[in-house]
Amino acid sequence: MLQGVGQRLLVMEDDDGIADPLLRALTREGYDVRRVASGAEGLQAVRDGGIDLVLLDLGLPDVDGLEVCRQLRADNFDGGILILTARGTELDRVDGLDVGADDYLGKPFSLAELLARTRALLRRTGRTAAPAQTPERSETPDVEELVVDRGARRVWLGGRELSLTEKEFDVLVQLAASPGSVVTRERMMNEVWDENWFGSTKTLDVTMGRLRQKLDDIGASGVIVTVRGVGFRLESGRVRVEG
Amino acid sequence: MRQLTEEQAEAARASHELRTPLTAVRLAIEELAQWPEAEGAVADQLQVCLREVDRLSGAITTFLKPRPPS
Repeated sequence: MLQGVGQRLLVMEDDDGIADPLLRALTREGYDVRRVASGAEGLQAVRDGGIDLVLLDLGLPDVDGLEVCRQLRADNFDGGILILTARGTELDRVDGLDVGADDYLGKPFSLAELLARTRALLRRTGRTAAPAQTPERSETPDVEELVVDRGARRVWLGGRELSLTEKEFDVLVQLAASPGSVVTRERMMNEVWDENWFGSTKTLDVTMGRLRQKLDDIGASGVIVTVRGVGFRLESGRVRVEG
Repeated sequence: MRQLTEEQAEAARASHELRTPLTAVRLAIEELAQWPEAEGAVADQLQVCLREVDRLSGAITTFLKPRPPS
């Protein structure tokens, strides 16, 4: 499915080995992608206008990536900025967000995660070219069926809206994508968190616990089933996905 | 103290030098897996490659983790 039709992405990456597969994948998703190999070219390309999202490598040959990021915001660029870096320390992450980046991926990252974050950022920054149809509020169903609106990132049950954090919502969407099928813990970690997780999936359990509590509180107990040693599944017939 | 700083700088450089090609390999495999030609046994083998790349990433992360001064 071509989701990104009409959206313009700028990839600032000097390494051909990374840029080439990245461009093929993003193009296949339907994005209009341009690539530059230096900070100076990138800043100019954004000044020329029309860019919805910048994928920014911090290790550019001419200008430090954090400085590029700062300059983009100084130039009033209001699209999304997703930082890609091989440094990968907590300090870099904080620095990146401090200078105006929206999100951060440490190398090596997975293509699936990069595509997911790209979609999420374009949604968050309101750059969705063909806005997903949001359900008519008047048509909010009164049956006890969970309604997940991916475009608006909102969830209802029987007309009441459920307040979820970003991760709780992402976990729910992963499950709702294939009701009745098991989503493995590994896949959940890869899709919702970071490809670079190793070992502990405690954060998944904590988020899952909170999500379940909220579902219980609103009267949707037992919607999420644990499949011991494998993962989780959503009971089919109890959820509808829109957007 | 100065010794430690140099070690840290070396670790950062090594991290960059190792992670950059590793990222390229990972992306190339994952992208290849999306080709229509990559089906069945080919897709399975690509997943094996991905797992090995992730194993290597894990090893690099472990070895480059800053160590407290001895």
